[in-house]
Amino acid sequence: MNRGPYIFLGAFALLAFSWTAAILANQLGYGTLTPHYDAMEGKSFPAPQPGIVARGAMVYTDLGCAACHTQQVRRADLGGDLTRGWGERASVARDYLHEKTVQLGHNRIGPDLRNVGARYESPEDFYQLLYAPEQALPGSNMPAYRFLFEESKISGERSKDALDVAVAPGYQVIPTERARSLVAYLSYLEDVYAYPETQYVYPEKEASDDAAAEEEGQ
Amino acid sequence: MDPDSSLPQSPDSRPEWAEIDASIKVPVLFFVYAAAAWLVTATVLGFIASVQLVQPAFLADCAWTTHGRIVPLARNALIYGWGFNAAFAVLIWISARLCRAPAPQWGITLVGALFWNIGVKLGLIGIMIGQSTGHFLMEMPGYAAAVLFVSYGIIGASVAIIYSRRREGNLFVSQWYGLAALFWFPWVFTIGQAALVFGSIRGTGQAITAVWYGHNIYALFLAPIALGAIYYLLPKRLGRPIAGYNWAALGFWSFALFATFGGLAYLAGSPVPGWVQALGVSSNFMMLVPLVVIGYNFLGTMLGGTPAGGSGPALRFIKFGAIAFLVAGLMIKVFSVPQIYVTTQLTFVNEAMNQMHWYAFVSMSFIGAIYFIVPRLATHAWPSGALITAHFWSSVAGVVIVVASLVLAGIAQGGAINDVEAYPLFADISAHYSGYLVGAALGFLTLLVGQLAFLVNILMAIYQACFGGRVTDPTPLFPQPPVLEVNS
Ligand code: HEC
Repeated sequence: MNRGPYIFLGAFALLAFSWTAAILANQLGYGTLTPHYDAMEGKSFPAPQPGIVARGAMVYTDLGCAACHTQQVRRADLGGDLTRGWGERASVARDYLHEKTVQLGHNRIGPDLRNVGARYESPEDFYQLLYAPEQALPGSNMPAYRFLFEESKISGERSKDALDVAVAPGYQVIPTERARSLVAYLSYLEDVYAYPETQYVYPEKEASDDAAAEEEGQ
Repeated sequence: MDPDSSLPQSPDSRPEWAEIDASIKVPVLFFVYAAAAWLVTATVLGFIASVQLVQPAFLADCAWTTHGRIVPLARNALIYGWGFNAAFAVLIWISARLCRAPAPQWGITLVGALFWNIGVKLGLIGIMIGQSTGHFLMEMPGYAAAVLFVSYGIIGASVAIIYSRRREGNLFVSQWYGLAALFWFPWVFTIGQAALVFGSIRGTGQAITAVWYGHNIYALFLAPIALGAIYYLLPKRLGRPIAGYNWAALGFWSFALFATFGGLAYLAGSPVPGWVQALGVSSNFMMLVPLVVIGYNFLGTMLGGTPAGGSGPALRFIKFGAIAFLVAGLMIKVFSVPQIYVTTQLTFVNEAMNQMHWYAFVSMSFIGAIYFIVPRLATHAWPSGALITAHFWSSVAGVVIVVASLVLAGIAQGGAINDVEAYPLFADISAHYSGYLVGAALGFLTLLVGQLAFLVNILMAIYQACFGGRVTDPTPLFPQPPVLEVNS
């Protein structure tokens, strides 16, 4: 019996089903997910990314930080994310609406970075970490990203951007444009706003009253 | 060219085979060579990446060789370099042999093959210089993807022409897998690229598309061709038909149906809709159906014993691949149990499962098929049996070491991350599992030894095929059990 046509039709139907269920259904579902406008604060959340942050996200992508870092805080019943202080609540789909390239990641060789902006006070701390991680975090396995910095001879006065790191006398270390945008992006990573749907993932905080109306995308 | 002299009394040597073999010899041997060279490249990169996990300063001073770029380089070299080149070789061979039809103009297929490899190189250079798209297995920049797409069109068209010319009405199970994979890949590729590289899906919908794509490159292309190769070679080498052949159709359809959603399980617990997570996890459990059916086909055929006169080098790899397929299927179920994935999700266990699917199952099956195909096309036995033995044992040892080390590393890692009190600092967590990563690095080295043996053997075989004249004394590497597939 010649089964060729059946195989062909079946293979087509199967792929169409797979695509509809996994891709199309989600495309439609995500289409209705919009930033949340908070009338009290007069702002919408998540906050749009300024240009330097968007450029920093590209640096994060092209250097492949996602090989070692995730950007997703899981619910309290799924591991130690919240006890580790990786966020005040679990991540929800809406948090990522402005990410051009979503980098959820799949291996936690380093800590989750979804809220790292809340953990570090100043850009200087991030620069220290990227330039000399073994000094900032002793025993750490984070590789140093020295090529994101320029070492130059001090001519006249030391630059106000120079890092506070050990360097040959008469020299200074200055972050490059790429380092600046990367750090702007890291500082931006902070999901603290309580969306209506976060009542499910943010049990400690009271959810706002009008929450039940919008449950999509949790 | 008349293979009769090297393959006496074999149904393989019906005169029409000479015509068929001549029509595919050059492109298939090219694919085999390119595949083996990429395999060595991918393993070297995998080794570098695992050294960097223990020695973070290793090659960290230049953006091109940082860990974050080596990891996607290794993955893409393994899948698009080794995996696809080997899959094309196997697909063309199985199609031509089982359809009993010659390929069209081999020169055109060869052009497709050359451009495919140029596309992979462009893509890897793109990743290296910082143009990665950041999506799993779709890291190559758009221009490289376009070259791959066009090359696939050329290669795929020549396989499709083989099917359209077929003289054998019956389609054997290997051909279902081949035909379906041939059709699925361009769609999966188009959907993934259109959604993520050329278009834009918003938010974590990107992550859903990326795991769907990444997993279907395995589930709807590499795995079907590897399964097809096992279904082709087991009966051929063992001299008996597939056990429970009538069930194979159920295995085929249920595998495709459930495996296509398996990737979504990687997102269990991630910020994506709950039904997506449930679909992924439940599909992994439903994979029990194809696993039982295909397992019955494979094990039932294998347990009947080996024919007198040995079964040749190909079968060892094929058997390993068949068993690895079943083991991988069981492992996936274990890691889909919520009480277990609480620990193992987002750890090295993911990488271990990739190695299990891509290496232990798919690659070992492809290697087995290549050991079967090349001597027939070259009309020479393999130049060195010792190199084959070395390749087999180093592959077995290497893949077992790599997978076991990564699973243990992942369990230690996940347990430590979830236990904040005992492991407050990340330095403690890394120290807790870094011993296993040394194991993984050694595993990659072990693999590399065998793959170099493979590459050397292939280069010598190709040299013989071009300049070696014709062999008259086939070695015991060439036992000839009867061909059974086409009759069943
Ligand atoms: C080889 C894996 C690896 C890569 C690649 C990597 N990191 Fe890390 N990173 C780590 C590890 C491990 C730690 C934890 C260090 C510690 O606490 O001991 C870390 C820590 C961090 C921290 C501090 C987090 C915290 O909560 O204290 C930041 C920020 C960070 N990494 C940013 C980055 C960025 C940005 C990139 C890409 C340019 C990157 N990392 C690439 C492994 C990696």
